[in-house]
Amino acid sequence: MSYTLGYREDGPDKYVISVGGELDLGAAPALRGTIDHLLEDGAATLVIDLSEARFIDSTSIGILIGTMHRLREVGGALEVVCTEPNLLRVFEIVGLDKQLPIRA
Amino acid sequence: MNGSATASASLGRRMDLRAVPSELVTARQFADAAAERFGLDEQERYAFTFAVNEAVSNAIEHGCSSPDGTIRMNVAEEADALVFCVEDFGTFAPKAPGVETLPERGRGLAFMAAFVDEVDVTRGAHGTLVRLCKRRAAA
Repeated sequence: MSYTLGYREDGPDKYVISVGGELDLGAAPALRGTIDHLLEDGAATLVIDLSEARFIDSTSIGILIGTMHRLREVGGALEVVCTEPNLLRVFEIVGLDKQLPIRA
Repeated sequence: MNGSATASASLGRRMDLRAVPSELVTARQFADAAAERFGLDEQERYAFTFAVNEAVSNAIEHGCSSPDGTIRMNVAEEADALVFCVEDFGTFAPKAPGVETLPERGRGLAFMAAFVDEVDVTRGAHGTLVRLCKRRAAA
C-alpha cells in the first residue's frame, strides 16, 4: 500500500481527511469510502489535507470534484490543503484550482 | 511487485505487469527512471509519470489482460522524444457507452493529453494500445 488515510473531527459537522503518499487507483476505493461514510454521517464541511501526499491521479481528482458537487447541493463546502509543488501544478493544469479552494 | 523488465541500450525497455492497481507503483517507477535517463527535469518527469499512470490505470481498469493476467509497457527514446506504450490483450469487449464508464476514461485521456505532447489510442483485435509521446523541451 502506497498511501495513508485517516480523518478527525474538527468542529460541528466538519472533518479533516488526511491523505498521504500516492493516491492512485489502489487508493481510490478507500478515499471514496471514507468520504461516503462522513457524508452519510452528516458532514457539511470536509477538508482534504494533502500535505503528506506526493501523487494524485485523475480518479482521485474526480472524487474531489464529485465530493465538491455533493457538498454544495447540501449547502456544505470542500477545501483542499496542499503544499506539494508537483500536485499544485497538476491542479492548475487540470483547472481544479479554479473550482475548489486550495490552501497551504 | 511482479513486474519483470528486459532492457537493451538502444531499443528501449519493456516490462510486463500484472493488471492490478498495486502494480501502478512499479509502472510509475519504470516511467520516472526512463524520464530521468532521457534527461527530463523534475517537473517534466512528474508530468510524464502522471500521464503514464493514467494510461496504465486505464489498461488495468478497462482493458483486458493477457491470458496470464499481464499488460505490457514499452518505453523508447525516438530522436527528441520519449515514447511510452502500454498494451492490454485479450478480446476487446465492445460495450455501449454508459454514463458510468465514459467520463472516467474520458477524463483520463484528457488528462494524459494535458501532460504529454501526443496521445494515440489504437484499438485492435487483440486489445488496446496507448502511445504517449513526450518531446524534449526546446532549449
